Amino acid sequence: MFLGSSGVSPVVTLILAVCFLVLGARRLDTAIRLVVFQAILLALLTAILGLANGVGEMVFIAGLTLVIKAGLIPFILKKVVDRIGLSSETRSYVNRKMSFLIAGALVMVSYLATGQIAATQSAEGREILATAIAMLLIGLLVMMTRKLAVMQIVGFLIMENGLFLAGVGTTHGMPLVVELGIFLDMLIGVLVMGILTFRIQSSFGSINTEKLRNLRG
Amino acid sequence: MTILLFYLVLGLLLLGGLFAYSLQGKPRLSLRVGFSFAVGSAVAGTVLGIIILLTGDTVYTGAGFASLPGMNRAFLIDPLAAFFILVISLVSLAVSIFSFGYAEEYIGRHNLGMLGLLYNVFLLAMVALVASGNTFFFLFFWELMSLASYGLVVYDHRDSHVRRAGFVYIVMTHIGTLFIFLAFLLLYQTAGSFDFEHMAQFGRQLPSGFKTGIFLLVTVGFGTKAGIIPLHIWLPKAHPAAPSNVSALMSGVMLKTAIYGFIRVVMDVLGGGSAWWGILILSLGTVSALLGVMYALMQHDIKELLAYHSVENIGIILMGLGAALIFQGYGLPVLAMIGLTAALFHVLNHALFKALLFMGAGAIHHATRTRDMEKMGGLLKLMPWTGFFFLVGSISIAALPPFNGFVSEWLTFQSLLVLGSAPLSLKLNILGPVFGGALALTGALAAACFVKAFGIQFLAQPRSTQAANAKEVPRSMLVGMGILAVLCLVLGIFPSSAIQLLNPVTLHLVGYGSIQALGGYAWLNPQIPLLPNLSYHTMIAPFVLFVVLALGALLVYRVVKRLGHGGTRIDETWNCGGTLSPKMEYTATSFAKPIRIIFRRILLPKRVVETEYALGFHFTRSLKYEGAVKPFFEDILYRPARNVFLKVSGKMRLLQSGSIHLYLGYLFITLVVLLIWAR
Repeated sequence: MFLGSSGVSPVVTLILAVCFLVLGARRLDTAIRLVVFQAILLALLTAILGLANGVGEMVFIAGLTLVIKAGLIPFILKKVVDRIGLSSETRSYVNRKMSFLIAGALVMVSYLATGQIAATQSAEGREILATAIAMLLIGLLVMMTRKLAVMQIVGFLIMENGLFLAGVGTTHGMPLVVELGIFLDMLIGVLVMGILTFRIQSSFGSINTEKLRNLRG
Repeated sequence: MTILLFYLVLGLLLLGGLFAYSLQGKPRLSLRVGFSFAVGSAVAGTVLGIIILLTGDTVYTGAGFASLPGMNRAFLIDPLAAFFILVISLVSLAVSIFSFGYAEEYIGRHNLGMLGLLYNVFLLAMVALVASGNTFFFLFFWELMSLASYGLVVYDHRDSHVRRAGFVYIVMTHIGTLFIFLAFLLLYQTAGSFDFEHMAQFGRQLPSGFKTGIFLLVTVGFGTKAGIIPLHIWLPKAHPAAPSNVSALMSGVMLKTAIYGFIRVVMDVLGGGSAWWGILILSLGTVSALLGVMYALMQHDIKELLAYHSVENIGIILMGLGAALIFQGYGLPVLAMIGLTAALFHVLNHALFKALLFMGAGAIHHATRTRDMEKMGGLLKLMPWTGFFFLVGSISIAALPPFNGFVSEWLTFQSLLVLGSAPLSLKLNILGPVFGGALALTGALAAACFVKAFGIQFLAQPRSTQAANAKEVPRSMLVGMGILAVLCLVLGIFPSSAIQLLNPVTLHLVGYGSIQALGGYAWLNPQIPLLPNLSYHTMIAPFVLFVVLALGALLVYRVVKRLGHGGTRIDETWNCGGTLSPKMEYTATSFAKPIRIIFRRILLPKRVVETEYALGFHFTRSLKYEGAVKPFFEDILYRPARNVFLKVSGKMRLLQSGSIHLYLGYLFITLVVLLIWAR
């Protein structure tokens, strides 16, 4: 984080900005595209950090991120959206202005919360950790407020990206086995959620998760 | 060697279950294979139990494959465990043979592979449970036993009554397990080990408050499984619902595992406690015995009647145990030994005759397709062997010589009567004989109940076409019942054989062997030194009693034959010239009526009589009678508890809106609040 650290800060900021863009997205495919963009940024960041610290594994992980998060998972999501045949709006309980406000507050909370933990770290480390926590909360916010099942997956991906960022930023790369395990987990998770979304569509004629309330006994 | 035998027992049961399940496509083969393995394992288990009891050794295995901190023994078979393995194996031997014929009625209706699997797993869990060397294994097999028996109770799951009975059973049994869990955790906390062996070294020195807490917890926990009143409500529901071979095992053996657990914790690990523990157990036992038999008398479903008798007999076992605990509290090991011997002997006896009776009920159900006694009658002529075996079981449970129930109840009497003369407090000296009186009343009522059960089912004329068309059951079922009937007689005539087997058990638990004080082979003569110059001495010779009874019967037969006119004349019963019809017969309800009236304050019976008149007051067209006994404990205890529970659950339900977004919201808010708060 000494060499090339000048490139870190803008990328982290961009990653956080993408989260806000997802909150502002009106259409499902926009949201998916934004997540892809975020994954590419994440891969870039990992590569920069890996090269700067001379950790070869991190470069490999960056490639893997690119393949899985920017390739395979968007592919699955696209398929889900195409099969259901809708590019409808990302319907929400909370309007966009309110979403932005809440997300801003969440960023503040995460800086507040990580202030002490990261005090011993460098400026970039502090920023990365705070951003990671903020992404976690924003991802949860997306899952919570958006009605369509695809958006729940998008929220989940943002949370996952946040965790990944925290791992990369604070540890300079977890052991490769752990990273591979996490990737596999996420892939399976998205696959299962995709299938589940199909099922919701076929049983309720809509992927509006509000309707799941009917399952209550 | 013995440990290999133990693994053989478990292995055969495991294989039997798996084979039976994998052969479910061929029901007949699956049935044969499943129960054959169970029979093989029962034989091995019997040999194992007898070897260990005769040598008095303890065998154990390490916990190598399941190593946890504080756990050094996987299985530990000491004489107490061996005795219970023997009880389980003897009963399962007979019941498994019985099942060959009995389970055939399920072919084509239910999945026999499932029956074979659950049946073998059930037996496996019980054997492994009593052989467990640590609380961890104990609880694991305890739960396995509960779940397997639940599966067996709801085997006939198409009937909604059966499903409801299964629900009550599984709820009650889990409530009991909760208390056992707590007791074991307390024990672990103080002794620092899961091993029973290790706990037993520390258990005796625990502070008395701890000991009392653990004692009360296990009393409730094991009491639920054993079915002491008022925790008995699952028993009369689950037993009739299960297939009869399963109810024979549940009532004969599964209830006893609770007695085993109680003895293991209270007498082995805690080493007994203050005398009031004994008084509590004795009182609980007395209440269970008396109320159990009274409720039994009011039942007309034969299996429900037998289920209430299980409550009664568990009560009798607890009376012996309670007396033993009192004596242990006062430091009188010889007397404690008598109570313990009585209780354990009754465990064996009740297992034998109750399994026999449940198999008898199963045989009757097999032949008549009904459990309602009011629809039976005249079965003795149609099913002579079943009738004979049922009679043997009835005499045994009614505690009449020369069968086994008599001897163990006699020993229980001795331990209660000794309460009156032993150097205890004055109150106990007075109370002892009172408890003895209660036991006597229990015995008398049980006798009345089985006069009813046998008389209504087997004597007189058939009350329905099903009963009139009954046929004797297949031979395998008769063999199963026959084994237990013979054992009932043998143990009744030679009780010394059982007392000899119990010697190492009492030696281990109260430090005093049973042979020393109960003596000889043909004679049972407790000689108990109470004070230096006073000893309590009584005796009985069951074998001589048997010979006298047999000779007396022969004599009466001879005299009657000599005095009578000779020759046998077969004719109809004289009925003032009318024709006899089954409607004139004494019914089970009317037989029990005097007792219902005497104990109406306790039983709270209610009845509804509706009469419909044709012309005037004197011309009755139809008469409808409905009688029932108030389900006292369900009304007083369980219904209010259930209502409170439902109310609280209803409030909790507000949280469960069913909306994913709200659930995520809970997560979100928790996360944010924690992040801010933990800063």
